[in-house]
Amino acid sequence: MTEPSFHRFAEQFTDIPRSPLATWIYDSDELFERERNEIFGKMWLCIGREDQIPKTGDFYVKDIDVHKASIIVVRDRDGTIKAHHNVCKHRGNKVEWGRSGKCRALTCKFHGWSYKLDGTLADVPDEERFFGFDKGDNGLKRVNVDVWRGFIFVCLAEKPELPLNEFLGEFGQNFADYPFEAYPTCFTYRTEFSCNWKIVTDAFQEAYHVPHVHGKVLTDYHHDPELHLLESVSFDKKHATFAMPSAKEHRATPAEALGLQHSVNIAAAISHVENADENPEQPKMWGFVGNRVFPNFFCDVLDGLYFTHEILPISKNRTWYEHRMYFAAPHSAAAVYGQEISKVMLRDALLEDLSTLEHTQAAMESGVLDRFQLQDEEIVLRDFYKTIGEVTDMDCFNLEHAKDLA
Amino acid sequence: MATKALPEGFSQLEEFVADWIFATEGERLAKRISTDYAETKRFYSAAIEAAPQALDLLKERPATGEMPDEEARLSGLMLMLAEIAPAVELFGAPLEAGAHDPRKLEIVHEEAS
Repeated sequence: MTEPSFHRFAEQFTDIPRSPLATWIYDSDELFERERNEIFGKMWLCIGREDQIPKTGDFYVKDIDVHKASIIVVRDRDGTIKAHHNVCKHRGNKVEWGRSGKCRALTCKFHGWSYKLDGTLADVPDEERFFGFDKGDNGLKRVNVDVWRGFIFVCLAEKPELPLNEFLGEFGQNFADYPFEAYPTCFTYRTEFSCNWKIVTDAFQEAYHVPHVHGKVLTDYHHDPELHLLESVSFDKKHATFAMPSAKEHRATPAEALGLQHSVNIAAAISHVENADENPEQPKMWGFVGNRVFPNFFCDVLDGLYFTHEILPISKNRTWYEHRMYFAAPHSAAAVYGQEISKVMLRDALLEDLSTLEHTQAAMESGVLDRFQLQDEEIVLRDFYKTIGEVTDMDCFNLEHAKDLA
Repeated sequence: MATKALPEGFSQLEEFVADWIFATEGERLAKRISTDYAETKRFYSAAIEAAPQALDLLKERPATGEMPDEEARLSGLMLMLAEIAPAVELFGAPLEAGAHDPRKLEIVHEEAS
């Protein structure tokens, strides 16, 4: 039997660079401008879930700061999701000022112009005093919007380069039967960081960090020194899927163990998949499968829960971030306890992930390091920068470029 | 004798009713951070001991929180146990040294729209 290779992913994916990643990429005005245009201005971006606006007239406002875009996402009368620029066609005032709510019509407070949920202009006070005016030409400007399995995507380009299902590729096909609707209980955390958006994405694309930065919360990785090694990796379009192996057993803390009698949590969800394999009659089981939906969305699915990370640049070194955890509806007051401890432990683990980001940005701006050396298990990260390079036409592995900037 | 605030069988938790029950995650987190750690450990010891019996009772109650006041208080104490358990069981301190400060997170699910 041959020894397993230490470079198994490099051998599998020979076109992904093994050379060090350049660090000017986190502090480059030129690259940021290209990312702004080529990525955030052109690609589909996941901005939430349909169940945030379940009924006709429910809406929320989504800001995409890097394009100074404010978007009203609303449930129309026919049940579909519509997205409009939050800009009144009269003199450009913001139509909806709140973050979310419920409305019968979208009405601008400046001069009272009122739009239907589908964006068509319905009522203009003193309409007859305008000149050669046609209400039909003055609906709210539409934003391209589409929905995949309840996830709402928008695209700021006039015309998306690909329809959403083609953009999502194999990810969309492979995860179409994941039971997202079975986990309607959502907990949402939001914050901003003083760092480049890519440093936030870096935190969620490898498991090399898990035994270390999560040494206190995810203790199973201490007991099994190979548990953090990825089980499989696949790439399609610009997206990536990486699966983590199941723990043979999960050693729960006392308070956690009590919760697990009534609910599920991340560590238990990873470890119980092993047992499920013994019964092929059971429905498809998910261990921990991380999905990078390029450019800025992560959808990590497990058995019994899933969670997402959404990352949006505000400026070169300022980033907006939202984390959502989704659980089943609790069936008893004891299950509410179980869910609470799952949530708190996942939240506290997230705080470990987030601990490094601003330190890294400060270090990059100090110029102490010109490169990051990435190992085989960081393959998804290396693919991310290969992809960023292709999209922006700036090679993220080109160490010499820093000298051009200096 | 004073009226009991909790169901029969939870007298060891009565002393925590006044200061350890909160409606939201944000308030429970703030309590975890602001409380002297020795006092948190004292609450943990009492709560973890009572928890199996408490959860046996609560598993018969709906998740919506519609239950007699005594049981709702017991549920509130269990949610506080969930908040402080990582502090006692994993960190040995209110928060993990070096981790991101949770007060920087906006808890969006508790905001009214």
